Amino acid sequence: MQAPVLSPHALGITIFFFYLVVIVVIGVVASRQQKTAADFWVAGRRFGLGIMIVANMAAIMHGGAILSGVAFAGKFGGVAILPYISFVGGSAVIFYLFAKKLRQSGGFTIPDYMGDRFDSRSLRAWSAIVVAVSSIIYLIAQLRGMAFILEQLLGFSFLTSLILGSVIFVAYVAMGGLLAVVWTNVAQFIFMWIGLLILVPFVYDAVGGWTSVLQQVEDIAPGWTSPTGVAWSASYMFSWYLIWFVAYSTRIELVTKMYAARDDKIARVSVPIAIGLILIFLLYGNFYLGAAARVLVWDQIASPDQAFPMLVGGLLTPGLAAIALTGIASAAMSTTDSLLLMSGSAIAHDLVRRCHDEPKGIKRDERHYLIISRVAIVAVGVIALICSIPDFALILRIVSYAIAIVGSAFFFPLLVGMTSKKISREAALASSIGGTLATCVWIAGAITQASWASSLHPGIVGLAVAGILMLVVSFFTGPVNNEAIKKFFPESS
Amino acid sequence: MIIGLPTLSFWLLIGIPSILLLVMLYDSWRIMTGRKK
Repeated sequence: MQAPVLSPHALGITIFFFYLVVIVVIGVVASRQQKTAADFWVAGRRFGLGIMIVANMAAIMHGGAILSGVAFAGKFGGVAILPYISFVGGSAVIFYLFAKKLRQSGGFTIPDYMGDRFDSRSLRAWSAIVVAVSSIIYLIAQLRGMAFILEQLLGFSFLTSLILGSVIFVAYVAMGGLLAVVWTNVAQFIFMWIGLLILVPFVYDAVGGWTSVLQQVEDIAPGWTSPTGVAWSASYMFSWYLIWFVAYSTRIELVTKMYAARDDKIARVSVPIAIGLILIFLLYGNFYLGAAARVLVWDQIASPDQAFPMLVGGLLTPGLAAIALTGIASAAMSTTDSLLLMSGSAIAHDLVRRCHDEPKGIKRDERHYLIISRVAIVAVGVIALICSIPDFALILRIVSYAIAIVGSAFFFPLLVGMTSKKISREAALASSIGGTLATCVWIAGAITQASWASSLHPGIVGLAVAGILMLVVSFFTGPVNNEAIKKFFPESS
Repeated sequence: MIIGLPTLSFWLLIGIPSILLLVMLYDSWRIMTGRKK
């Protein structure tokens, strides 16, 4: 084995800066297409199938998808295939129930859905606050993750990586909105796949094909290829699957993309195709490489996060390793931009425009809202950057539960609101607020290590409370007005 | 070559979602060709 390539390499740095130039150019070009708030938040609703597929994939694959995916699979084994059932189940809910109605309703954001479907400004404002707060917290963790990857792979200092990455992506998101986000996602995917494909012949040479690597890893770590992996119990696995199923069916980045499709057919069809491609990516990019890392480098690393860099450093020549690692480092920026866009839209579109200006009859032109949108993006970016400089261990622990907060706030109002006309505004409010509060209380208990909070995941508690409240309150209240229902059930009019 | 690997349940966990995905892809084809609304 050669020495691992963890130090900066001139070729790698050159490629990374080439990548930065590419995405800044994309931001500038996309900024010329921005005339209205609809251009900014939903790219003028003109995405065709190809772009929608890439946008959906980027919404699911987070910044550290390869680094942490290989680490996770290498460490726990078969359990790492958990995304399969959860991804496909969650996407089936979006495909069969949400996508068509969301696109036809013509909103921009999840708070738009909550406000329109239940005819409630309070629900719109509440949803905007949940989206803004959860996205900003998640953004802080993603920024730190991105900086960590740039630091590890390119050799910059943590602070340099953090500031460099943040300034670049705040700039292109503020300039070009969703259009810039999705075009840069395409560039990021190309860089990432170049990085991954370079590895194929070398890994195949070292460990052989599927059957070979899985038999070797089973010999080294018995149970690795079982569904529960080497460390998990069946009940832990089940609750983990359930949480991720809910998390993926309510993943705001993905659900919001439905609004940007050219029509409702494209919105729907893009979902399973994107999921299919992600599964192929996971089989190779996480599972096969995770098994290979377990076989080849596991006894040489101090923490699982080093598995991928060590694998690359051990198998490739320094020049090729630099290209592979920079491809992966470039892709580390691909979730942060969507999160920034979402928290910006919650503030500029949902709170300022829909909850404040429009109810008061204040009319402003689209240029004004475009400026507000850009100011909101920069403000959120600066706040997240400042908050991610100190190492707030608490924020990182809260982030691990952020999916539970979003799931308990939106799962039942989305699911029941799309399938039943009878559901009331009060039931949706009680479910969303009650579920979120129960999750937050449980998270506080889990973080302070209270004994009552140790047996159940906060997301399970939040979902149970949200479901019960929706059921009980609907029993005593009536459906919302016909206008609101017609928008989501046009066939009934 | 993916046949003959260590555990059956492991492949079921990949197989069941794969079948669901194939059903969705079939429905996608029907949506695009106008056979499904």
